[in-house]
Amino acid sequence: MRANPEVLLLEDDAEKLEELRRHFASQGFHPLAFRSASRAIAALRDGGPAAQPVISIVDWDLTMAPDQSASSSDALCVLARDASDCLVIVYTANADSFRVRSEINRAHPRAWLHDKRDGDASLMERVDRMLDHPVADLRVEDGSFVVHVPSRDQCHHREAVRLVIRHPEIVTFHSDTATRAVRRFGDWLARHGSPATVVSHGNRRYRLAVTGTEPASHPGAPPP
Amino acid sequence: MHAGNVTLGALAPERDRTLVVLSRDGELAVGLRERLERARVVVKDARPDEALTAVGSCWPWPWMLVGDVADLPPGVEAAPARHPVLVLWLGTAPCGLPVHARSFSRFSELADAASRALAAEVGGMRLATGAGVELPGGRLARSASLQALVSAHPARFNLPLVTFTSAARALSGSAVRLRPRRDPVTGWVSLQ
Repeated sequence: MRANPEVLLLEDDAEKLEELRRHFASQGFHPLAFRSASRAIAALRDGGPAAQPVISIVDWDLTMAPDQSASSSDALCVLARDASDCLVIVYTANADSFRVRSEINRAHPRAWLHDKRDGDASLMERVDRMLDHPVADLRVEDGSFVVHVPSRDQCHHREAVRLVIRHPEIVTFHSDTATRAVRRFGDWLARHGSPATVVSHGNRRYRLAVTGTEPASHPGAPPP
Repeated sequence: MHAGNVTLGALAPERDRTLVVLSRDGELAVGLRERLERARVVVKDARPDEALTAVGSCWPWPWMLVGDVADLPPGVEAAPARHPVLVLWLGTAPCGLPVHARSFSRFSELADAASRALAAEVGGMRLATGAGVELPGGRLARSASLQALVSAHPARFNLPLVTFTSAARALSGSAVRLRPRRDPVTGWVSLQ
């Protein structure tokens, strides 16, 4: 039995949260859904699966949250500090506001911003685009494993998924188990003759590089 | 349940290439974050009273310090005085900044300079994604001082040559002929 990578969802609207939960479950992820930031923070801090989400989707405006003791900014700060290997997307209807952008940047310098006014579908499309984006001869399938496309061989470790999803960025891993998995993924790539390689930046920091080509931007970047 | 002690993400320890922005309202940081390739640099948006923590959170030191405040917060001058930190300022640079600091009257000029520093290519070397320098042949050199020399080239740093020991070590045995060298007249160090 393999565990699917977790995705943390923070959305105060119960209907939208359920929609997100269903979407990510259909993609093969294990959704961890929260309506209030305090619950999400508690889950991130309890050391369980939610402490290691591969992706987090955070609604900036949590005015309908049942518990207002913590804000989305607090949740982003905890993600930035304790789960820096997680890809974070924040969506807000106030994406044009300089003040909101600044607050989000300060809470989580690496978070991607998404404009809620583009509609819920655009958020899903963006996430799907990030997940479907091939890296050299690799792609993520069912949200839970990396496939070497020419051979159809699969690598079933969430850290491999994390590296592919985050490409070309550096990912900091937080345990020896994770870094061992990353090294095994590097060996797996070499055995398959993939042009993608795992590059070590020291201190448990790794990134996926593709020989001869480095993309100009992350696939999660909004279209120009 | 309360969130408890939550530290701003912008003040959390960071080992990737960092650009610390000191401003009172964050507008400069928002502009730079949207302009620069985020896989190459992490933009830390700090207020003057957070400046020391923000600078200290960058390991081993910030790649670049940018600001628009008229007075340099106390203690911030130490990092660029000891390490090769690129310094760009919007408006008149305050006292305490190193002499290699560059000031700009327009945001677009400052952002262009930061972009050029990130995209610099010298002797087949360029900044690697995230941190460090990619040497010819693809080898990664993690030296932060080499990273500074490549980004700043052909500009120079008014620092002792010993500050660039890790750069010299990274280049020894590589195909690159350039080395950190001290100008005999000015005493400043650059890649030559």
